[in-house]
Amino acid sequence: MWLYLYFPMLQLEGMTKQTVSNDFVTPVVIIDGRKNQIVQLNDAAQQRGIKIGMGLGTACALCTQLHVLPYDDLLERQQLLEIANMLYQVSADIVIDEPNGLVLKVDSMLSLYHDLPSYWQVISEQLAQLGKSYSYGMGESTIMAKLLAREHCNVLVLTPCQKRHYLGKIGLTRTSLDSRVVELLARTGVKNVAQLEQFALSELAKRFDTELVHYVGSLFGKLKETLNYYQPAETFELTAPLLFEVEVMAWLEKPIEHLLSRLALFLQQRNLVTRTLYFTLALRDKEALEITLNSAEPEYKAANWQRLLNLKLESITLDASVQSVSLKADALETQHATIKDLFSTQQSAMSAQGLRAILCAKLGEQAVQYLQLTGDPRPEKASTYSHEPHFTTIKSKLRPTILFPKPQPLCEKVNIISGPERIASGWWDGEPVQRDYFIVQNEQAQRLWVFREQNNHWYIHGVFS
Amino acid sequence: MANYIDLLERKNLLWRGRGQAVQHDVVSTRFAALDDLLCGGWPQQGVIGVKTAMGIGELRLILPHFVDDNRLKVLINPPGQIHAAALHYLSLDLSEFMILQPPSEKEALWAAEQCVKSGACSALVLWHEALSIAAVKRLQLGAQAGSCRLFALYQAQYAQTLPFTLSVVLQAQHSGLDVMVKKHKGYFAHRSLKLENPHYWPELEKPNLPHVSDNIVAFSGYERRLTS
Repeated sequence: MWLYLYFPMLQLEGMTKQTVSNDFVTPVVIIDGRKNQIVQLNDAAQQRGIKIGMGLGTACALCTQLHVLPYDDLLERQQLLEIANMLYQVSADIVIDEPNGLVLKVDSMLSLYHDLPSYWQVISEQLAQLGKSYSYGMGESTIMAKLLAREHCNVLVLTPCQKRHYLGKIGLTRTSLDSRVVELLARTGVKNVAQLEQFALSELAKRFDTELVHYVGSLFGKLKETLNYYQPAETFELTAPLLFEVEVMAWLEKPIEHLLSRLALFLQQRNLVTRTLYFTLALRDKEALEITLNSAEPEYKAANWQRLLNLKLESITLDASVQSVSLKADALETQHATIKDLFSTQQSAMSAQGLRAILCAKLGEQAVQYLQLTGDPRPEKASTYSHEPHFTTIKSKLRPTILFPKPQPLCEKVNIISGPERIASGWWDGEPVQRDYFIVQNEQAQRLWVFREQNNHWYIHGVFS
Repeated sequence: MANYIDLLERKNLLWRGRGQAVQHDVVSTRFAALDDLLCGGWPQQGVIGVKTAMGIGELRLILPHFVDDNRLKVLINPPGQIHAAALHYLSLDLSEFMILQPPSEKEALWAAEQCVKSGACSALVLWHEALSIAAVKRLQLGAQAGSCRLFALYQAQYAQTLPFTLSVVLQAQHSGLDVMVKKHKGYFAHRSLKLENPHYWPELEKPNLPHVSDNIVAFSGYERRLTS
């Protein structure tokens, strides 16, 4: 069984929720530029008599103070992903049906929630938190559920009779079938979806093309559909569009607050924290303004980030109006409990692993290294850097503390202090060395570790720093 | 008169030298003479500035006291590859050492701050040539929070005095190392000391045997044939 959630006002609600408070309502419509049709509108616009599907001219004639916004499918998609992310906490298999629908697989979740009403209760609680208007429908296939949801069915379990009634109301032109096929069906007297049920698939296959057979088969759950399930993102990224262009920093407070609370929820659900946030303010006719916010302590709470951000914003002046604000957080860490010792004066203690995780997150794995003794007699291979700490039992000889990555030619006068120590080894891996090592002192009183090769060339290999 | 003094004291304009001496926690440097010079040893926590040329024995001076506890020791931006055998030779536990090579100087400071205040490290050595008053102050605060000491090694001459807990200058001598205390919080500064090599690092001093180089044997022709 599939549950389809249809969100008819995704863009409109997404925009107004962040920017406009309730006491300030102007009629707003969203218009699809390609078709010149109104696709979404708010209550205030509805009261003036504007309807979905009207052209812009008619709408403007009905209402002079109309606020018109272009339809933005990217934004809808983003909102949809956000809802999917929220529902993913309670339901496992989610299919995204762009631009404004989600399909949830119910069967697999019933073993967790026992029965349908309790499952629906959890889902509807999540949806209530989001505050988006929606309608839903349930069917044995995703297509059936979608048709019912778009019909504003809003009933979970339908009797066969009720279902026939609902499907009978849906004309074939509203399905995703090709208009040519719809016309062919209309000529045979099939005008709505309910009538499709009476045909056997083999009969359809004789008279119509495979597209229709496939559609009808999947509609009534006789054929299996191939679906891509939703996978939640690993990092947080969200854009808050603004209803109006903003020129004063203080007016950005509300959209930013919304972004931060979303971030807090995202991090809290995953038990993560972060130290760096990246804000991007898209400016009109200018390069986007990037604000990086660093916290010394790993943090997820919106209030604490808000405090840091306010400090940061004080020093920033806008030289163009802001069109949208987006927030990104990608260096996420797991939350580590800090160990507090009652008797020491030390304020906080982190584990060595915790420290390493922080350093790796910011500097990269390759910048954080440990020492390892390999037991190789060749000095350049005797000690290496590794990514894990090592314990060693190998006995060591006197060696310089700092080794040059490449031996440098010795071109100064030095006094030999001790030596030679002959190292002739490495025949097994094609990099043999045969050197006499000396500890020497140069004019600057540095103690150097130099070697002489077979051909009497002298090199400095390290410093007794 | 007394009123004025009270007023000045309240406004933090007057500083009394006497009665300010605080008992500072110290860690023995493992060199008796240096301990005397530093009134007991390296400060337990804080930022220690060491102005030194590279390779004159600065690490040999710092490393021996790293045996004192088992928290992490972090070396940031060393001027070459740190040789594990050299540390192991000093009976230091290699698993306690972490080497950081941040891509920029700014990130080196960030990493140092994270380390000092984490409480997971007991000591850091930072090679850095662009320290500022603000940076050192941040490190100081971090070091107090994490009970950690940081050795900042530099060669440059800074125009302004940096707020180190202890500032020493090292100068190489023919057979030793001059240690000069330029600033020591809570103590009188401008003391100096010469550490004699034969005493402290006998391995790095010429023994008084007359013929050391007699046992050098020329590379044999057989080996030359092998490699050619």
